[in-house]
Amino acid sequence: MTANGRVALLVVALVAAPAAAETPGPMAVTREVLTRSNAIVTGPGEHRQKVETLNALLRPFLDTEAMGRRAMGKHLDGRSPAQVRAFLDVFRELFLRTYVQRLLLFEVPDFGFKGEKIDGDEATVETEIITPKDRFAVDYTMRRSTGAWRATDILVEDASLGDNFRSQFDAALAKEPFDSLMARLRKKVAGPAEPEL
Amino acid sequence: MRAVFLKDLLIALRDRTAVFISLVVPIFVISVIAAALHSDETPMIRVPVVNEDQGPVAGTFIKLLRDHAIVDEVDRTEAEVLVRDRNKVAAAIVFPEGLSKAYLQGRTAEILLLTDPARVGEVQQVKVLLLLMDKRAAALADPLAEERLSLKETSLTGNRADPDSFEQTVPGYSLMFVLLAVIFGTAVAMHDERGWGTLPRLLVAPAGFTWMLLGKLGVRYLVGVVQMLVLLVFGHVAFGVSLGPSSLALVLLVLAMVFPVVGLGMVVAGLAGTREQTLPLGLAFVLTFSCLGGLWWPPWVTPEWMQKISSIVFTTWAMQGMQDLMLRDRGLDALPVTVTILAAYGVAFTALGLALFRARHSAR
Repeated sequence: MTANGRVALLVVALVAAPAAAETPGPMAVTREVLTRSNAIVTGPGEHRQKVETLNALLRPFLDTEAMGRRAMGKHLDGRSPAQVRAFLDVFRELFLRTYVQRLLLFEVPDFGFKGEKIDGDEATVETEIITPKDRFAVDYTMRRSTGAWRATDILVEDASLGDNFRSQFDAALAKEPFDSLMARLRKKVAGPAEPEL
Repeated sequence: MRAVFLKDLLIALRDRTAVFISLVVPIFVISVIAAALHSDETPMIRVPVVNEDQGPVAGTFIKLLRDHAIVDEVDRTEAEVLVRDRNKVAAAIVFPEGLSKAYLQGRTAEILLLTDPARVGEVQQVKVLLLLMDKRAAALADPLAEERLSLKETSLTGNRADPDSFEQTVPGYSLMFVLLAVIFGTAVAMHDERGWGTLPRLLVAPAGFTWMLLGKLGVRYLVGVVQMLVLLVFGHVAFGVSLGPSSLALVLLVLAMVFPVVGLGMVVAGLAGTREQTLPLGLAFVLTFSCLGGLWWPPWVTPEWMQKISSIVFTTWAMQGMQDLMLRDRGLDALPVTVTILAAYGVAFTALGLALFRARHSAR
C-alpha cells in the first residue's frame, strides 16, 4: 500500500467510523487532518506528490457533494441525475484542487485551533493559519452524517469558499449554458495542476 | 571610359586609410546594432517590489514575477526614489497590506503601481508581467480562474499618464539629425580649410589657431542649436509633442546638448586625415551614439552590458534631459546634473578634437 493510501485509510477511519462511544468530535477530526496537512506541506517531496497526498487526505474530510449542491443551487433543478452526478464529480476535483493550492500557498503553515461550536449534527470549528506577519481565520462548517463529521464549507476570513464558487457559477451561467460551463470545468480538471510556485 | 575608370580607381585607392575606415566602420556599426537587437539572452526587466502584505499571496506573486523579471524587494521610500528621483526603473509594484486576506477571500485585491510614464514601454512591460502573474495566480483563488487583481497606477513623475509614440520618437530623431548635421558640418568645414589652402594661414593667425577654430565651431554650434529648436517646435506643432513647462529650461538643455555634438565633430575632424575619411568616421560616431543613447529605441531593450555602456554616453544624458522636461513635466530643477555632465562632455570632446586636429595639421 502506498503512503497516500495509508493516509487516506487513516482519515477514512477517523471520519467514517461508526458513531460509537469514541467517535471523534469535529475539532478532533479537523485537528487531525490539518496536522497531517502541515506535515505534508512542510515535509520533503515534490510539489506534485504533495498535491496528490493532500488530495488523498482531504477527500474524505471535505463533503464536496454538499458543497457542490450548495454552490450550484437552483441551477441543478431539473437536471437529470446523470448531469447532477457529472457536476458533483467534477466539482469534487475542482474544490480539492483549489483548496490544496491555497493550502500550499502557505510555505510553513502553523495551524491554531481556537474552538468548536456544536449544535446537534451541525458544528463550526474555528482555526487559524499563523504566519510570521499575520493570522488568517479559517472556519470549518461541519455536519455529522452517518456518524462522521465532514466539512461542508470553509470560511477564510469570514468569506465562504462555497459562496465564492456559487457567485462564480451564477455569473457564468448568466452568460453561458450549463453544458458549456461543464465543458470548461471538465477541461480545467483534466488539465495539469498549477505548476509549483 | 576605361582610362577614366582606372584613373578614378587609383584616386580612390590612393587614400588607403579612407578605404580601410570605410570597410571597418560599417563592420563596427553593424556589430553594435546587431548586438543591441539580436542578443541571445532576452533582457529581463528590473522591477522593485514593495511587500507590505508579507503574506502568502504576495510571496507567491513575487515568486511568479521572478520567473520573468529581476525582482528587488525594497521599501516604499526606496521604490519611490528609484522611480521618481533616480529614474533607474520604469515602475515599482506595491503589494499593500491586507492583499493576502482579500485575495484568499475571493475579493478583488488592489495592487499599486508606481510609474514613470516617460518610460512608457517599460511600464507596459511591467503591466504585462502583472497580467501574467494574475492569470497564473487566479487559479489559486477561484475555480474559473478569473483575474482578481485591480491595478491602481500612480505616476511619480508629473501628470503625464500615457505619453504617445511621437513623444518617444521626435526628440530622439531630432537629436540624431542634429548629430548628422553638426558632426559632418564641423568635420568637413575643418578639412575644407585645408582644401582651400587657408589652413596654413589659420595655423599662424595672430589671434591664435585655437581661437580661430573655436570661432568656426561657434557657427556650427549655433546651427545645431537652431536646428534642434526648430525640429522640436515642429514636433510640438505637427504632432503635439510637449516641450515641457519651461521654455527657458528647454533652451538651456538644447544649448547644453549641442555642445558635445560640436565637440564630437571636432574629434572626427581631428581623427580624419582627409575629407574623404570624415564620411565613414562621422557616420560611425552618429550611428553608435544614436544606438547607445536610446535615440532609436529605449535602452532597456538592449542587453544589460550595453545598458551599462549606454549609461555613460552623452546622448543618453541628452535624452534623459528631454524626457525630464517633456514627459516628466519638470523645469529648471531637472537640469543641473544633466547640463553639467553634457557641458563636461562638450569641454572634453572639444579639447580632444582641437588637440588632435592641431597635432595632425601642425605636423604637416
